[in-house]
Amino acid sequence: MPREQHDGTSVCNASALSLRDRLLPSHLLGEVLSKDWIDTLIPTAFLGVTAVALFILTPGFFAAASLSDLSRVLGEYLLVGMGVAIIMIAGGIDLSIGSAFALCNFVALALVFKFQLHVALAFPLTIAFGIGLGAINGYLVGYRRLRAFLTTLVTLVIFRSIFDLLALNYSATLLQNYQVNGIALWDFMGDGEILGLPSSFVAALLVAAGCHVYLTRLRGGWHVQAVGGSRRSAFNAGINVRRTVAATFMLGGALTAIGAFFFAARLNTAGSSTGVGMELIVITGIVLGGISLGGGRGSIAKALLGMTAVICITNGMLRMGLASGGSSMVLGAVLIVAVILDIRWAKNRHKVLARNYVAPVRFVMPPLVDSQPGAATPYAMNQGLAGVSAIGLRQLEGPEDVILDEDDHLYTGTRHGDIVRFLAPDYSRQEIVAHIGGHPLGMAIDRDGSIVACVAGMGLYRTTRDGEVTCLTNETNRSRFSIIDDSKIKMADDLDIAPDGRIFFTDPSVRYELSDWLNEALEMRGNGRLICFDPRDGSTRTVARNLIFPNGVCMTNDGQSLLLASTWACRILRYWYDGPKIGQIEVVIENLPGYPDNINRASDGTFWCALVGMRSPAFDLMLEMPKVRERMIKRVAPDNCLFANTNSGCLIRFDAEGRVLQSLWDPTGEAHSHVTSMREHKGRLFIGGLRNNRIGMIDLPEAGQDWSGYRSYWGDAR
Amino acid sequence: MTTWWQRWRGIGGASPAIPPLDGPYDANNALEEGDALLRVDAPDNLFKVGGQLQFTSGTKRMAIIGPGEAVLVEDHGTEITAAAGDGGDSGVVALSGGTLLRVGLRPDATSRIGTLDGDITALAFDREGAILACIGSSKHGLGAWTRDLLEKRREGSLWRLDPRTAAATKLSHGLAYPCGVLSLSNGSVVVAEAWRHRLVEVLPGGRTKPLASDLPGYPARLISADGGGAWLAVMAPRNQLVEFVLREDEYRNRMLSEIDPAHWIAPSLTRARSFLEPMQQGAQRSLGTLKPWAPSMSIGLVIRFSHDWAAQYSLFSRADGTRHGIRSVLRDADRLLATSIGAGEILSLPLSKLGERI
Repeated sequence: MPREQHDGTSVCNASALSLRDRLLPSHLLGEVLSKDWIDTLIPTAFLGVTAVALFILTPGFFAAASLSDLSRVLGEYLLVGMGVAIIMIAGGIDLSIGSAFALCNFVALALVFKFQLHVALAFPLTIAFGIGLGAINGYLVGYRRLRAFLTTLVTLVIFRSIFDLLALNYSATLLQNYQVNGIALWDFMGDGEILGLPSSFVAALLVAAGCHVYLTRLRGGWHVQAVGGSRRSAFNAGINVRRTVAATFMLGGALTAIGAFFFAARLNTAGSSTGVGMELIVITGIVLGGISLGGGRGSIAKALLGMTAVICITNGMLRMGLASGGSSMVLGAVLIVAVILDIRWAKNRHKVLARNYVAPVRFVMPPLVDSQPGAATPYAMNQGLAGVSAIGLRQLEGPEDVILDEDDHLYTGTRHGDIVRFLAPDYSRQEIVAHIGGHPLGMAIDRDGSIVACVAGMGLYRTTRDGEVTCLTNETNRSRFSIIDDSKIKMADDLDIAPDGRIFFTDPSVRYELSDWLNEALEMRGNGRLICFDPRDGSTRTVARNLIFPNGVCMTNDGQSLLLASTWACRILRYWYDGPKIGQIEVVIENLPGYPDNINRASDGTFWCALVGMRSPAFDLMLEMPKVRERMIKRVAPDNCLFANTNSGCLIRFDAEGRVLQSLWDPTGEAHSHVTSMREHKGRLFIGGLRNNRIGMIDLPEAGQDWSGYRSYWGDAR
Repeated sequence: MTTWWQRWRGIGGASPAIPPLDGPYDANNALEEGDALLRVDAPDNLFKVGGQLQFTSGTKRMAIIGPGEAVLVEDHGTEITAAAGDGGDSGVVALSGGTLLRVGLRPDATSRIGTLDGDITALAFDREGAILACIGSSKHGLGAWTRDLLEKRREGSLWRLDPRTAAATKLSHGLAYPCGVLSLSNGSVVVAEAWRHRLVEVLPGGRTKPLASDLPGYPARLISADGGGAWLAVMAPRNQLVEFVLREDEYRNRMLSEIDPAHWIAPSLTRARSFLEPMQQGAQRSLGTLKPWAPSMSIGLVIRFSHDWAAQYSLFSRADGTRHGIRSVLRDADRLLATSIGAGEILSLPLSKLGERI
C-alpha cells in the first residue's frame, strides 16, 4: 500500500492540485462576488475614474488648497446625502431637501443674527427645526401612507415658497447686524480646521461613523433595512413600519439642518438660490453609490463614495468653465448610467455569482479497481447484503447514521430534524428523543451515554438520554486569509470522541451547504476540514484544512489517531491527534472503487466503512478536465449533471494498516440500495442511508456476539 | 464570430437545451400499462408476411402464433438488422453486412436479392413494389450506433432497389443516421434522421425537406397510421448531458478512446444496469424510489403524427419504467404492437384506448 507523509495542512492539495490550479486561485473570484461589500466596488471604481479624469482635465484640482475648499463643501453635502441615503434605504425618497436646506439655513441665520442666540443654542434649535420639517414628510409618508415621491415634491414646493417669502421680506434686514453670540464657534464651524481637515468634513465623518453603526449594528438600523427590503415582511415580523419610515424622514431632516448650519456659518447668506438643485446632486450621488432606488440595499460607505464622486464632477466642471446647463446635463447623464447599472446589477448579481462560484480543479483518479463478480480483488461483488431486513421502512426519512446504546436501543437522525429511538429488541416501536431542527448526520455516544450528533447547517449538538439538547459548538476559529467567512460550521458531517473526551468532527465544505454537495463533487478542491471541540475548556479549533470532502471519522484503538474518509478523493486518511506523530496525516487506503462515507469500529479491532456511491469511468475522466466540469455546471441543469453513482454502494471492512478484508454488496439495489453508515452491535450490523427510507439490519455470525461500541470506547464505565 | 460567441457563452447552437416533454410529448405511462404479448430477448423489426406477424431477435426470424407464443421461422446465422413486409406474401430481411433476402412464411421461401455496402437500418416497400433501404452509416455497423452518434457522423444513405433487376440506386446521402423509412401513398419518401432528431422528405435529386423537427428523442422505425399520418418509434431520449458531451470535443474523444462503450455518456436502449454507467444527479434514488421524470439515457417512446406531420400524442415508458428502447412498431387490426429491447418484450396496445388520450 503506497504511503505518503504529509503535514496536516496540505495533505490533499499537495498531491492533487496541479501547478496551474495552485497558482491560479480561480475560486477567489466567486468568493469575492459572494461578499456583500462587492456592491461598493462599482462606486469605488467610478470614483477612481473620476479622480484620474479630473487630474488630467483640470490642472491644480488636487492642490491642497483646492482640496480643502472642496472638502468643506463636500462635508455639507455628505451630511445631507447621508440623511437621504437612510430615507432611501428605508424605501422612501426625499425631494424636498433642497428647500428644507434653504429654510434651515434661513432659520440658523435668523437665530444667530436676528435673535442673537448663542451659537451653541442656535445649533440644536436649528436641528430641531430640521427634524420638524422632516416630521411633516414623515407624518404624511409614514403615518398617512402617501407616496414619498409625490409628498416630498409637494413639500419641496411649499418649503421653497415659504423660504422665498421669508427671503423676500427679511433677507435685507437679516444680516444688518453682524454680531454673533459665540463668534469663535461660529467661525470655527464656518472655516475652522481639525488636523488640516475642514470642520464640516470632520463633522460629516463623525456622523458617517454614527450612521454606519446605527445601520449595521443597532436595532433601529436593522429595522430601516428590513422595511426597505420588504415592507410587508417587516410588518409581519412585528416591526412598526410607519414609525420607522417617519423616523428616517426626521433623521434626514436633522442631518439636513446640520449641513445647513455649516453652510450658514461658512457663507452667512440667505440668497434665493440656496439649495436649488441640491436634490438632483444628492440623489445622483447616492444612486451612483449603489443605493437602490427600491430600498433595502445600501450602506453609508456607498453614499459617501457616490456623493464624493458627484461633488468632484460638479466642482471639476465648474473649474473647467462649463455653463451651468452643461453641468446639469453631465450630471443627468451620470444619473441615467447609475440607474441603469443599479437595476442591471441588482437583477443579475446572483446570476453572475452562480456562474462564477463553482471553480473546479484537475484531479487524476488512479485506474479503477475491478469490482465485478469473481474479480480477484476484495471488492468483488457478492450477495452479502441480500439478507438485510428493514427497520422503520417508510417511517424514516434520511437516517444518515445509526448508533446503539448499551440497552440495545437504536438511535438515528431524520431529515425532519429529530433524533429517533427504536426500542429493542425488535425495533418495531419508535419514539422521538429530541427535536433539534437540523438534519442530524454522524453520531457518537459519549461516556455518559448521551448522543453527540453533527447537525447539517447547525453544528455539534449533544442530546441526553432524556432528550435534553445542548449546542456544543457551531463555530470555529476563522482562518486568517480566507475571503469567505469560514468560522461558521456549514455541514458538520461525522464525529468521534477521543478517550480524553475531545470531539473530532468533520466539516466537508467551507464553500457549500449540504444541499449543494454536487458542487463539492464537481469542484474537487480541498474545501473541507477536521475540527476539534475540547469540552474541557469549551474551545473549538480547526486542526486540519484543505481536505477533499472529509466525511466519516473513527478513533483507532491506539488512543492517538483517528481514521478519516475523504469522500470524493476515494481515500481513507489517518490523522494523529496525540503521540509522536501529532498533527500528521497519512493516506491509509487509496483508490477505493467508491466514495467512502462513515467509518466505525468492528468487533475484531478492524473498521467498517460505507461506500456511499461507486465510481464510474465517465465521471473519473471528467475529474481530469476541470474546464469541462465548469462548463457543465454553467450550461447543464443541476439534475442533468453527471454525478457519482449513489444508487448502489457497499460496505467494506479494513484494518488500520489499510488492508481491505471484506466487502458486502447488494448489486441490484433491491434489498438496500443506498448506504452512508453502518454500526456493528452484538453480532449484528445496522445500516443507515442519507437518502434512504429505512435502516437495514443484517446478522454477522462470525463477529463478536456480545461486542458493543459503547464498551469498546468506554469500557464498563456505566 | 457569432458561433465563437455562442460557444463561449453556451447559447444558441452551443446550448445543450433539449425540447421539453410538453404538448404532444406530455409524458404518460401508456407503454408501461400495455400488455406484454411476448417475452423474448432483444425483439426488433416487427413486420407482416402473408398475414403472419414476424419479428427478429438477434439472428433469428420468428413468428407470433398467439399470446405469449412464438415459433422460430428461420435462423439466418447473422445478425438481422432490418425487415419489412410487402403487404402480400413476402417480405425482405437485411443481415448485418448489407445482404438483402426475400423471405416468406417458411424457410424454403428465402432467396437472396443482393447486397448493399453497410448495415441496413430500415426497410420499406414503395407503391411500385421497389425496396427502400436505409444505411445508417457507412462507417459503423448497427451495433456501434452510439459511436456513430458521438463521432457526429453524417454518413447515412437511402437506396432504392428495383423489384425485378435488384439494381440499386442511391436516392440520397449525407443523412444523419437514417433509421426509419416510409413510402407514402402519394409517392413521397419519408426518412427518420436520428442524429438530427427529425423526419425529412427525400426529394428527387437527393435533397431533403424537414417534415417534423426537434423531436425529443432519436427517431427509429416509422409506419403509416390509419387515416393518414404515422407512428414513429423513438429508440432513445435526447439528454442534456449527451448534448453537452457532443459539444465537448476533447472530453468526448478521450471517452471514446479510453472507456468501454457500455459506460459512455450516450443514449441507450436499456435502463442502466451497472454502477459503472454514468449517472446524472437527478437520477439518484431518494427514499427508495426513482423519480419517473429523472434524467435518463433510455426511455420508451412512440409518437403519433397526423397527416400533416404534426405530433399529436405520445406513448411513454419513463425513467422508472422498463419498457425502453422501442425500435419498431406495427399496426395489427385494432392494436399497436411495439418491440422493447430494454424489457425484452413485445407490447400490445389497443388502438381504441390510445385514441381516448387525445
